[in-house]
Amino acid sequence: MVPTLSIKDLTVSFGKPGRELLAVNGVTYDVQPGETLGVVGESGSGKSVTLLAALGLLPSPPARISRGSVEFQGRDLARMDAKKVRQIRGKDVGFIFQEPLTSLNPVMTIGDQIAEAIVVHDQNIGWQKARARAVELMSLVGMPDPERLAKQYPHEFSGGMRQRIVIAIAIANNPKLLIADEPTTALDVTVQAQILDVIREAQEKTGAATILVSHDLGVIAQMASKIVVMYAGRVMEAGDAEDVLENPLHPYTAALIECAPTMESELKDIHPIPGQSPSLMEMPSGCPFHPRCRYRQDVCASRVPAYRAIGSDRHVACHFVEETAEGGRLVVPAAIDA
Amino acid sequence: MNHISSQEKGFRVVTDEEMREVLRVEGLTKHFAIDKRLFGQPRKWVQAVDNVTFGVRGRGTLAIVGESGSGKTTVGRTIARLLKPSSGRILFDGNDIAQIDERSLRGVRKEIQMVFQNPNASLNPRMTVRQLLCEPLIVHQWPKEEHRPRIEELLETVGLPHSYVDRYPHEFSGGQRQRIAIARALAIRPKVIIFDEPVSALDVSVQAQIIQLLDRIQADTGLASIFISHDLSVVRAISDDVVVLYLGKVMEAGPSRELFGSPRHPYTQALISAVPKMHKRKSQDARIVLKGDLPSPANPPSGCRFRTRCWKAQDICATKAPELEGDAKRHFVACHFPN
Repeated sequence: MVPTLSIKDLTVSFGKPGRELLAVNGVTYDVQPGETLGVVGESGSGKSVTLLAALGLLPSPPARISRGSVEFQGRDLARMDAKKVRQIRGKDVGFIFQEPLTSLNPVMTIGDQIAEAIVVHDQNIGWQKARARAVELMSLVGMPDPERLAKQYPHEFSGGMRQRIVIAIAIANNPKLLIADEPTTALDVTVQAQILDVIREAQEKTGAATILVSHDLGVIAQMASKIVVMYAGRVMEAGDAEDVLENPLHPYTAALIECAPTMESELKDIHPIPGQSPSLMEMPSGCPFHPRCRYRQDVCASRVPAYRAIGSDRHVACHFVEETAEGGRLVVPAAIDA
Repeated sequence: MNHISSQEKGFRVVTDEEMREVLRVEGLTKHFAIDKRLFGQPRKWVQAVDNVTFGVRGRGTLAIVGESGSGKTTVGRTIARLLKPSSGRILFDGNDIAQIDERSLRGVRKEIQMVFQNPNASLNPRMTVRQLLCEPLIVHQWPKEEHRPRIEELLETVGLPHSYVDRYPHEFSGGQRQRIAIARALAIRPKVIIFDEPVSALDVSVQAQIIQLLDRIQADTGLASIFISHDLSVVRAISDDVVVLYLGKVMEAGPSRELFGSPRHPYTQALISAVPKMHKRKSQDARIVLKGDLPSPANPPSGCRFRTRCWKAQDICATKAPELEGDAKRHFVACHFPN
């Protein structure tokens, strides 16, 4: 099957050649039609920048794709002219961002905003039909009394309702790819649960491949079938979501799971990761996680571990993960006690 | 170091000293006028906090949880007397501080401190760490010769190297800045610190560091704290007692283990159920997804405020507000049909 989006060895740099900072460094992953891929990482891990760069949404300069390729349904986006990329982005890709209020036009009724998304990409439909379709979309994302609400403005809605509107716009043109970047981070938990359900339904209706970017492992676990764990601009581990969360191979993934308080864990089960994520200006040599890793060895500071396949369904970038009959395991002399 | 975690506290025999409440809030109510006019009395009010009662035990952490608009921050600010309560009592050391004047507040401010969510906003960018930590000592007239040793001690407590003392806030990461804010709140040895979403703006790995830091400080100093948060998994990890607020009213309150172990109010059940679980296989319970959003606090529903989103709501819920009733385990619930 041709993946909907395929990112290979993508490297994004900022600044002048020779003094550039790498925000994304050799990232590879793809997402198949109908599948939900969860991208997890802390702030500054490059999880959003990867996608923005891949879809040509980063202003250049200062950003530059210095290496790698991006294919959308088998077509190379990097070699396409800007106008064509824009068409694909608008029609075939739907975006849902964290803060719905900044995605919406404050002086346009929400019915017109949804209709506009349809009219722009389908010259033949006409406003009247587009508005009718907008009302349909609003009821699809669970808005009560859509005909009346279509005439209202964004400020008249709560955060959860605004995010539903953004989702309606995102799926207006039956996109092939849905990108949800921290879609529920600004919302209350009870509303988060509703919105995750709406995204799941929207995906089922459109059959779109979905990339869900989040810092919340719980949200990823609920939604994603595959997971990509990023740190300091690199992919640390990727694989089947449930497997990775049950049996993490990379020390960073394991540490990330152990430091997040959950409804099952006690205080004594929470193990903070010492230190903090590196800034782009002070990227450690070798494996970027090595200064915070309990299992670090000399080689970790001198050599970047290769991102390689472990077993049939897992990729890991760590010197000390080896393949076994059951999948893989971490082989290190001893842990350094913090 | 004599380190007692909250978990171990649960299994120890609770002494009288610990049972004694450091701070008690009774019938706390705060209304804000929303149609302030030049002349005459305002006619419209938001009941941000309505008749809230709870006690904070010595060495204990009381968590206030709720969604945005629940009034949790207003409760915190009112206790710190950054806001004046509309009515109700705030008993601290046996004295009611709810209505006392600014002058008498000085003494109270020394004992009740506050840490906010965003350290960028609460730390003056033009002051060094030394100046930031010195300020509370000067305000509360500590002898000058004690400043330097106290600052060294504080930096050690919050885990920052002493060499950072002449740096400015912008030179630190978010987690480190929050450590400075905590050190500042600790400076004059208060009895109570109110933490308002202290870890919400931090990355998970750093969040865990701060949670453990707070737990250690509490074990070492015997500080009582009020921890305001929307994040139930964080609250579950660090609190001894929990108060669940919805539209300014207490829905349920009680010891943490009791409340999370067997929640009795439908709202608490829904809140707990809504937290995304990391392991799908282990969480087979049916998820409760509430309908709709939080109603406007300016126009709350009649009777029980939660009834418009409650799946158990009956006619009585619209006409009569349920009383907060407790059992022998100090587990309180305000619901006509509790579990």
